[in-house]
Amino acid sequence: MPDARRTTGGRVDVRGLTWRPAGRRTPVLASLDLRIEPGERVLLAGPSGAGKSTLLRALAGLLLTAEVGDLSGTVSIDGAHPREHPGRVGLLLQDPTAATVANRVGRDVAFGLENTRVPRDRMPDLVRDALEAARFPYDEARSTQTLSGGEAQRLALAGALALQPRVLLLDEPTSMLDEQNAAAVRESVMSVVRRTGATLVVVEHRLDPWLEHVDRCIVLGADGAVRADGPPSRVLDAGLADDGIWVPGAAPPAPVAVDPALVRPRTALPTGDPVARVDSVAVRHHSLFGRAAVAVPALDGVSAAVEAGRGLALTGPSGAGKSTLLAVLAGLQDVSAGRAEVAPALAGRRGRELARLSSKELTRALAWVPQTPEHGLVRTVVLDELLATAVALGQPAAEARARAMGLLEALGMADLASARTHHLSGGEQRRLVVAASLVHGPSAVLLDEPTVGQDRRTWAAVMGVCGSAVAAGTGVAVATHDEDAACRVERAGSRVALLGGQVVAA
Amino acid sequence: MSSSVEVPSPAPTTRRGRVLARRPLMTYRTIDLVTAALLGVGFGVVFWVWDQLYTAPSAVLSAIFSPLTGLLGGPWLLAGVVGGLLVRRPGAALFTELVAASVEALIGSGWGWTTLISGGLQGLGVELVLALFLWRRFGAGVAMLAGLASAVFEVAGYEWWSYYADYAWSWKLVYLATFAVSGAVIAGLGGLLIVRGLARAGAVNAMPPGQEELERTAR
Repeated sequence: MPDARRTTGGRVDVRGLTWRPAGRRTPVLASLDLRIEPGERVLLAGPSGAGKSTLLRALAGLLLTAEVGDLSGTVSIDGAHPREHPGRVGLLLQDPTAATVANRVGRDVAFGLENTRVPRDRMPDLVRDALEAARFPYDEARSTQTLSGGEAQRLALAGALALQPRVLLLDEPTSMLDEQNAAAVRESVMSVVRRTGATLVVVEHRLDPWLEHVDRCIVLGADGAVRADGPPSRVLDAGLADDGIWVPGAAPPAPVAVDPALVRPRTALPTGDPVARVDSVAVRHHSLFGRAAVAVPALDGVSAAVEAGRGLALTGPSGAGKSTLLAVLAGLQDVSAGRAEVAPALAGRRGRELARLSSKELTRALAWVPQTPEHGLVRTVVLDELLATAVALGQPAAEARARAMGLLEALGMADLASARTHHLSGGEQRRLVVAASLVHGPSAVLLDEPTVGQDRRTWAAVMGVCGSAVAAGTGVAVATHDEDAACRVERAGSRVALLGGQVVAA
Repeated sequence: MSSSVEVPSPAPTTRRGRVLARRPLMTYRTIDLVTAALLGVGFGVVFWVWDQLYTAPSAVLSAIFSPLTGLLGGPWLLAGVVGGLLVRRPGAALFTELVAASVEALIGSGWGWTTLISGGLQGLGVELVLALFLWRRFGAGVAMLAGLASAVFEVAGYEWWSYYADYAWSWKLVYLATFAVSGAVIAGLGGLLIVRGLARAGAVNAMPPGQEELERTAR
């Protein structure tokens, strides 16, 4: 098949690259030398904070465009700085919606073309080809607002492909997706790489699914230097698991030990009693104008309960209604039908109905942690963040402080008590918000995707806190598509599997 | 196909103290433009709110001594000072103040589109002071001077000849003085506090003041 879009892969050359972001005493990348040959397919691995994403951003020429710090050394793509030829490098990020810039698919893909002043009459063909190459399932008129995570990620891929990149950089492109969507994105990427011969560099926490597609694995150490480099079979050994890397075949790490006294609920219910329960609830999302925003209800006839001293795993593919059910259990989402209520012991002045509890009554009973940890941060200093809810509820300061410090200690963050919350790494923020949800002793905690995209250390910390909360008598509900986490939670209680807003197995 | 680290990296250190915008000064990063624009929109709404709140204290001060109403002018100068102190590039103050004035006019105020004249002059006042210090100084003194200059440009460049054309010269000068004090304190010091607050909150890590804060609390 003659293919006008065939590009050749770019050669990546990194010499003496050193990057110290503002706010760190030591560099993230230290005198890094690296050469990637045209058409090579490289998997970039390393513990959290080793600078994998930073290296990708350096290869794309993005350091100093949005982040600040000290940069030295050189990066070149086919002998030129990556920004000299816009579009020569394509970068795909973890959050697919972060790359969406327009409300129509066609315009979104054309954005890069517009910015690189491609003649207007050439754009329609380039856009169509890019969408086809990325295996995007809809046409150009489709609204970008209605896409699933996997579809949005393939749209972002098309946006990068429209510029015919010689190097494709993927920064955890599937970590926020369920397995089905992740596989679809991987398929699209690999079909593009096979067809164009583009050089590929992938960063991903879970290595297994990429191994069959790559021919080289580079492992960065925590010191920002290359620790191992070569064929995946030779490079990936069990020792890397201790660094927090999800090495294929290695069992999930042992959860961190946390003293149950640190997470004991203030209102303890008998084990197995529902803290919050929903009976045959339906939730329908409405648009601003009152009409149903989508034809399918977010939840339809769902019954579930988070019980004291038990785990509840909510599973299912993207869009199944996991987050919505969690929000209903947390009293944050009103229901269109059915009942959602708390245990009698936790009833407020206006009764047990979740939607009618006051903020304080709700907070005493339940804690909710959103999927993006930054959205859960309400204070600027770590210790204040941990104490925020306890202070708002007027609980004894000394006791809350003791619990907060104990939790920080257990999670390996004791030296961060006075650090700024927005300066923490993603993994640290994740551990912080999970710990902060338990300091005021709620009877149940509801966590939305607490382990996705995290390395083994943060995974062990989050699972450790969950386990000890269950042991202390707290109800723990976890919505997730991380099967390892779901299994652990289910073992301590039960699982509700959702599909299209309905329970498929309980 | 292995790589090695041959050159030991120099002992890394943080950059304590003042951080300037990356030179060349006129080479705006995308994030500089976006930050200034968003800031402008935010302040436009603040301006409009102040347009509404202003009337009550203004009536009180007018009843006492009309030129005292200059004391209430400072809030409208905040956008330029904050934009200039945050982005630290030529034109950022003018741009931010103009965006804010446009948003204020678009929402709708009694001043209509003349807010653009005021916004332009106020922004230029800040630019003049930052230029005098070659975009190298952004402390309390410079911030107060910038707020003051912003007020002087507004009053002497526009208000004397429009709103207060009927004032006697003595009144005009008192009005200039009260507006200047308000500009120095509310827009100058207040603006600096806003910039520092944003930096401490971690909201402007990519801006020089954010970087100063990051380096100060480095770990």
